[in-house]
Formats: sequence, structure tokens, C-alpha cells
Amino acid sequence: MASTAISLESVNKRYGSTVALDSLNLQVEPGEFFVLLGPSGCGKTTALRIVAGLETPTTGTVRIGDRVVNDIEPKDRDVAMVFQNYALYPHLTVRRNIEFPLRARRVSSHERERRVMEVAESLQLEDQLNRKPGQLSGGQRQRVALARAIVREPNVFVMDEPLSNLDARLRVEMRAELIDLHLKNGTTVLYVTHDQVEAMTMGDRIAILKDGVLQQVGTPKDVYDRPANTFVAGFIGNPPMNLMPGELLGEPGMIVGIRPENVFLDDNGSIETRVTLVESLGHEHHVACRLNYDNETIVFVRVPSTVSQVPGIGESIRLSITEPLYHFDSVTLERKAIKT
Amino acid sequence: MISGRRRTRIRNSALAYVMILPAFVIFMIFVFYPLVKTFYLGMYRVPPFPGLPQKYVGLSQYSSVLSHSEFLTPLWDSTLYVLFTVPAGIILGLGIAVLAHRHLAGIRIFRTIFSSTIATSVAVASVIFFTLLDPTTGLFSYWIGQRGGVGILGNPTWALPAVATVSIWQNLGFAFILMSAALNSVPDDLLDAAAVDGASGTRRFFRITVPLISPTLFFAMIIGVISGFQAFGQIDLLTQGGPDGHTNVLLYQIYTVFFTNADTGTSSVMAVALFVILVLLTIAQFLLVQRKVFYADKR
Amino acid sequence: MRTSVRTALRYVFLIIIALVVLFPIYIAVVNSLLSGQQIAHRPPTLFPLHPLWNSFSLAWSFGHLGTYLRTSVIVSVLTTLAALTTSVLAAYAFAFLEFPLKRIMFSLCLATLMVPAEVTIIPNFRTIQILGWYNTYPALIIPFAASGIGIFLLRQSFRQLPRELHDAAVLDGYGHWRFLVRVVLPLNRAMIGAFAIFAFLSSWNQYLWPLLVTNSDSHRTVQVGLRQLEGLNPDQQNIVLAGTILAALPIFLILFIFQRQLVRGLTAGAVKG
Ligand SMILES: Nc1ncnc2c1ncn2[C@@H]1O[C@H](COP(=O)(O)OP(=O)(O)O)[C@@H](O)[C@H]1O
Ligand SMILES: [Mg+2]
Repeated sequence: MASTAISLESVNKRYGSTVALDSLNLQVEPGEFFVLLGPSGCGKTTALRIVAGLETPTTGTVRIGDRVVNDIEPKDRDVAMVFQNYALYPHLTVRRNIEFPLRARRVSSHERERRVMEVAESLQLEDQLNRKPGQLSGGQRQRVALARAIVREPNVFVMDEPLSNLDARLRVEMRAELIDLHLKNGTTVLYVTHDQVEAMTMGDRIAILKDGVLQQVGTPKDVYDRPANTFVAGFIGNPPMNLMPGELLGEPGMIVGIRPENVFLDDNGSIETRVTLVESLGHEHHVACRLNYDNETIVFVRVPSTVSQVPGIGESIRLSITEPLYHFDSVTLERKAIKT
Repeated sequence: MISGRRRTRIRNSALAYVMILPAFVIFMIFVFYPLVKTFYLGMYRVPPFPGLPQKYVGLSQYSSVLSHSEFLTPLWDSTLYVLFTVPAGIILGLGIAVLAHRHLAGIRIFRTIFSSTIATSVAVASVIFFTLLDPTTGLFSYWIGQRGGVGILGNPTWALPAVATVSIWQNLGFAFILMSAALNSVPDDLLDAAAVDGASGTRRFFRITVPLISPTLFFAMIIGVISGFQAFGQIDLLTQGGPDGHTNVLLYQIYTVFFTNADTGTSSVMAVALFVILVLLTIAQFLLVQRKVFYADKR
Repeated sequence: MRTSVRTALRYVFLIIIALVVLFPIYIAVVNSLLSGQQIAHRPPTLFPLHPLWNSFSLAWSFGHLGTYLRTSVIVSVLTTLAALTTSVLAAYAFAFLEFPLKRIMFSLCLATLMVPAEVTIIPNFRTIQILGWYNTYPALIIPFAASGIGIFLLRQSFRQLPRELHDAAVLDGYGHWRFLVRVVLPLNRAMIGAFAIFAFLSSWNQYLWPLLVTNSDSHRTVQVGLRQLEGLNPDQQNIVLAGTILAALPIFLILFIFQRQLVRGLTAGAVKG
């Protein structure tokens, strides 16, 4: 029985004195769209390259399906990779780029043609087949990179920030396309991004990584509603969760967290503040307020655009809050699992 | 059992060695071995007539040859030759490149002409000038009012400058191409900014252009000096070291001592000296000029 | 007004310099078309009203230019191919493979740049004699069949390829040879072309070494052949110059065709610092 599609067990990776991955444990289920999320330099690419076989872990075990693949060549792992900057061969046409992996595998020319056409059709690349990558737009190049991975019909896809080089609009379009594709062919995807919105909208599950250490694994809802620590709480959600020193049931040494959407403008509220910044996004406004209480702590408020009276900078306003409140240990930064 | 990946690593190393092997075999046989061998040959004195064994004399041959005028005079001639060719070559190349840098109608024709001497070899240039300087039939000899006699190349004062001039002409195309490429690499916006700030053309050239192209000037200087010390063909074809040894540069002397006198010991000592001189010059120039050179990519 | 005066002045300078640069070549061409007596005639002829072309055929056969050129072409082409092959292979290893002693070996390649061929002629001449290569093509080719500059320049160029291209090929199951042929070579055509021209010119222009290791007309390159030609009588200068022009012509053609690669090759090491 194939229990997991990809599994990393206590994987460590060191480059000299740099620890890129620190005892990483990850299990990706078959058919899952699994997102590895974290800031730049946290080890996401390293993890992907270890799965693909382009790097060897310093210690630890990597499994794909039931096989331990530590000693298996990249080409024999049945993993297709989509690179951040596409890695298209500039001197080859789109067609030759897409069939490149098939040629290596000595697939018959008839079969090659069939598969290339099929993939090109599904990615709307039929008209581009005879062009070179240099003549394509960013979005089309991205599609070619995807096509080259898909045409192999691999067991597992790994994708390293495949959308990060696209402009904002295209990125949203491609997100939808990628999800569509995944739903259609149901292949396991290990997807890396530093963009929490991408992670939240695309992932069946998300693993959050920081400095090579796994912080939390869960569904988007899990990590949003029950962040394991202040890092996850601050990384996910925009604007980030408000975190401030506080206490819990009289016990000091706590960090109290509250999501901006749980803070409201309320003329009768008990919290007195002064507005320091207003960001208008159209559908909503992000208002930063400084608490009069210590004249220091900043609290973000998400104000829907339906609210007619948006406060101006320097204005004194009152706020009220609702549940949930989060409590974190100020030393370990872990969330206290106490229901408030 | 050896794991698959280990096996790949071993296989890749083997592949790497196979790939560098051809180049290394040649380097070993024709660069490193003869370099060491030259040092070694310099320690053996060649017998005065064939049949006797070579005699090991150690470093004493180095000290005797290197302090002797048969080495010092050619060394001085080579130094003069470098002094004649290198600064003039760089200044001319740069000057012409500056003149041809600005866009004018027909400038491409001029650029092609200025680059054209790159197609001449040392031998081609030397033979052409040999005929031009011929004391009886040469056009140059005619113009400077010489007819008959020994000619310029037979004149102890003018032979070396004449040979140097041939070299400058022959290398002008290369200097021009090099300097033009360097000028093209100077960003226009820097010069524009300086112009807006009110810097005059001359000031812009010396304060912005020259510092920015200084790596190229430095490079031109190093290869100029090195190739100056390697001058051979022009001497062999124009003067054969004469008149009376006035153009007997170091490499020509090495050639004569080795090939004509068959004295491997003395010529090896001189070859070692040439090698040391070239290495030291490269290092010295590098250290001296490095501080004044602006390397654009080290910002 | 002032700018037009400056422009005119600029043209004047450009024209004067162009004339000075071209003059020796021009006179060489003119004199190759005159007879020996006409060359010696005073005042000199600056324009050949009745050009004589037989000097070229004389140079070709009587002056052995045909043989010299053939030897030069064979030697230069083979040297270029050999240097290109050994440099591409070594550069690939240094750019894409990991192996023990890699850095030391690369330093050794760079060290060869510090050893001009002129310094090592004495033992190399003996080596050629011991190998029995005196007066043969291998003597002219093999010592230059590897190039430190070539390895250095090509390695630099190869390393500019994005690492992902190599990774993608590895994932797709491409071995090193196929990656080299299918990806690395086509993507580095510019630098390979530039180095090929450089290697060809260096080989073509060699003088001292071919002079040392050959003495028969059948294996003399054209540069050394010019030395034989120079020794002709003063009244045969038209043949000398015709031979010189024949010797230079192939390079003029090559440079005309490959101007861009040449500039790249010559300046690759220099401008980038
Ligand atoms: N080949 C390498 N050599 C040395 N350090 C590396 C190498 N690759 C990655 N690193 C280091 O490992 C850490 C993780 O890198 P990476 O996996 O690329 O992060 P991410 O993809 O999350 O931005 C970084 O500190 C990076 O500098
Ligand atoms: Mg990354």
C-alpha cells in the first residue's frame, strides 16, 4: 500500500556551516497539492532539490512512494520539476523544449508527437510550438515549463516558486490554471512559494518553514485559525496578526494576538488610539493605529470599504475587539492551547 | 555495497579526468616538463666541441651568464624596444579610437581601415617594411633622401626605432579594436551626467573615461610588455640582430646562442631569465597599477 | 558653425590617419603589380597604369607560396580543431563536474598562461627530435593542441549557463555527453567561435616555432616561407610582395567574414577585467 507520495524523515542539509534544513519531517499524501511556505532563504528550494535528487541530504531518509530514494538517480525518481526561472533551453523551439525529456527517454517519435500535442493543447501552446522561448511572453514561457514537466507524466511534480516571475494579474490566472490541472490529472504536487496568499489559495495542506525548521503543517484553515507560534501567526494573513505583550488569566509573560479583522472601529469601544497610517486597497482599508495606552503598540484594523467613515491620519478613534484572541508564550513563542 | 549515488560520483570523477586528460598530457609534455628542464639545462656547461660530455656546473653558469654582456646588452635592447613600442602603441590606439568613437557619416569605413592591420602578421608587416626600407629600391629610403649605403635598418641609431615602428603599425589594429571596445563599455549616462555638471570634454575624458577603461589600458600594457619581450620575427626578418648587435633583443640572442652556437646551457639560462622577467613584470605591473585601476565590476 | 568646423577637422584627422595606416599596404599592392625595374625607378610609381599580374603566379609556384599556404591551412585548421576539442572538454569538466583536485588542476591550467612558448623552445626542440617529429605536421600542431586561455574562457562562458538548465537535463535523464552536445555547445557558440578565430590566428601567425622545427619547403608555414621569399634579389621585389599579399589575404578574408566574433574574442579577457 502506497501510504505516502513523498516522505522526508529527519532530513538535515548543511552547506559548510550553514544549516539549510534542520531535521525536517514531511509527509505528502498521494494526489495532494502540498505547499511548502516560508520566507526567502528558509530552505524551501533545498528541500525540493533533495526530493528531486539534485542534492543529497547530509542525513535523513527520503522516500517517494514506498521507495527509499536516497540512492536513486534523479532521472529514476519519476519526479518532474518546474523551475523558478523556467529553465527553458533558449536555442530550442517550444516543441523541442517540451519533447526534451521524452527524447532522453527514447520515446518513439509517434508517441512523442502525440503527447506533445496533447499537452500543448491543454496549455494552449499549439500556436507557439515552432517559436523559441525568447519570443514568448512570461506567461507563455511558464506554460512551456509546465508542459515540459507534464509531458513526462511523472508520479510527482515539484515546483519551485513557478509563478514568482509573473506580474500580479497573470499570477492569479495561472494559479487557477494550476489548480485546474491538478484537479484534472490528480498527480501529487509539492509546491514551493514565499507568497502566503498563493499557499492559502492553492494548497490542500501547507507546511511553514523558517530557517530550515518546520513550524507547522496543516490545512490552510488550520494554520490560519490555529497558528502554532508567533511566526506562523505573523506570516499568514494580511495585514499580519496583531501581536502585543500581555497576560493570560493574570499570568504575565504572554504575547496576545488578534487578527485585524477581529478589531473594529467602534465609537463606543474601550480602546483609545490614534491613526498613524491608512492603506486603501479599494475593497478594504488597512488602518494602523497606535494605542494611547502605551503610545507605542501599533494595531492593524481591516476596514471593509462598506464602512462609510474611513478615519484620517492623526485622528483619534476608538476600537473594540471580538474573539478569538490568541495567546503565545513570550519565551518559546508557542501558542498556548487554552480556549479563551 | 557501493550505493548508486556514490557510484555516480566516482563515474563523474572518472569522466572529468578523461575530459581534462588530453589538455593535461600536452601541458605536461610541452609546458611544465620543458619549463623545469630549462632550469636544469642551465646548470650544465656545453663542451667546446662535440663528443665531450656536458659538465654539471650548477648555479655558477647562471651567475656567469647573467652578469655577462652577452646577456645584459640584449636585455637592454629588449627594454628599449618595449619602451619604444608599448606607450606609443597604447596612446595611438586610444587616440584613434577616441577620434573614431563619435558617430559620423562613413565612420564605419574608417573603423575598418584602422582595424585592418590586425590581418597582418609580424612576418607580413616585416617583409612589407623591409621592401619599403630597402636602401636602393625602398620608397621610404628615397623620401628621406637616402640612396644606397646601409639604409635605416643598417644604421646603429635608427635600426631599433625603425623595427619598433613596424611593430607599432602592425599592432595598431589590435590596439584600436581593444580601445574602441573599452570606450563602448563606458556608459553614456555617466558622461552625460558629467556634461550636465559642466565638465569640459577634456576633463570628462581624463576624469571619467580613462578611469573607467583603466582595466583595458592595464591589460594592453601587460600584453604589450610581454609581447615586446617576445619580439623575434620582426628582428629576424628586418635586421637579424644587427647592425653590430644594436637590435639583438633577448629572444633573438637566445635563438642565436641555441640554434647557431648550439649552446643549450647558456641559452637555457637566458630563457629562464626571460621567464622570470616576464613573470616578475606581470606581477609588478599588477601590484603597481592595481591600486590606480578602477575595476568596474568590483565597484 | 563651430560644430561643422570641428566635424570637418575631425574628418581631416581621420583621413590623414587612414592614409598613414593604409599606405604600406597600398604600396605593397602597387609594387607587386610593377616589374622589378619599375620599382627601382625614380621618381617612384605611385599608381600602376599597366599592372603586371605575373608576379602572383611566380610567387605561387617559383616562390612556393602554394605549398606554404597549404601547410599553413592544414596546420592552423588542425591546431584550431584540436585546441577547441581539448579546451571544450576540460572546460566542461571544470564547469559542470565535481572531482578531487579540481582546483589545483584548474590553477595549473591558468599557470600555463604564465609560460610563453618562447621560454620552453630549447627542451621542446629536443622533444620533437626525440619523437622523430622534425619536419612533420605533429611538430607544428601537437604542442599547441591545448590552450590555457581556451580552457579559461570557455569555462567562464559555460558557467554563465543557468544552473537550472543543467538540473533540468539531469532530471530528464540526459547524460553529460548529450548535455554537452545538445545544450552547452549550441548555447556557447559565440564564445566558441571567438576562441576558434583566436586559436586560428595564433597558429597562423606563428613564426619562431615553425622556423625551428622545419627546414623543408614542404613543411614550412607561410610565415616562415616569407623569410625564404625575402631572400630573393632586390629586382624581384614584385614577387616578394605578391607572396606577402597572398600570405595575408586569407586572414583579411577571415577577418572580414568573422569581424564580430573576432572583436569578441580579442576583447573577452580584456574589457571585462
Ligand atoms: N549550494 C549552496 N551552497 C551554500 N549555501 C547554500 C546553497 N544552496 C542554498 N544555500 C543556503 O541554504 C539556505 C537555504 O537556501 P534555499 O533552499 O535556496 O532557500 P529558499 O529557497 O527558501 O529561498 C540559504 O541560507 C542559502 O544561502
Ligand atoms: Mg528558493
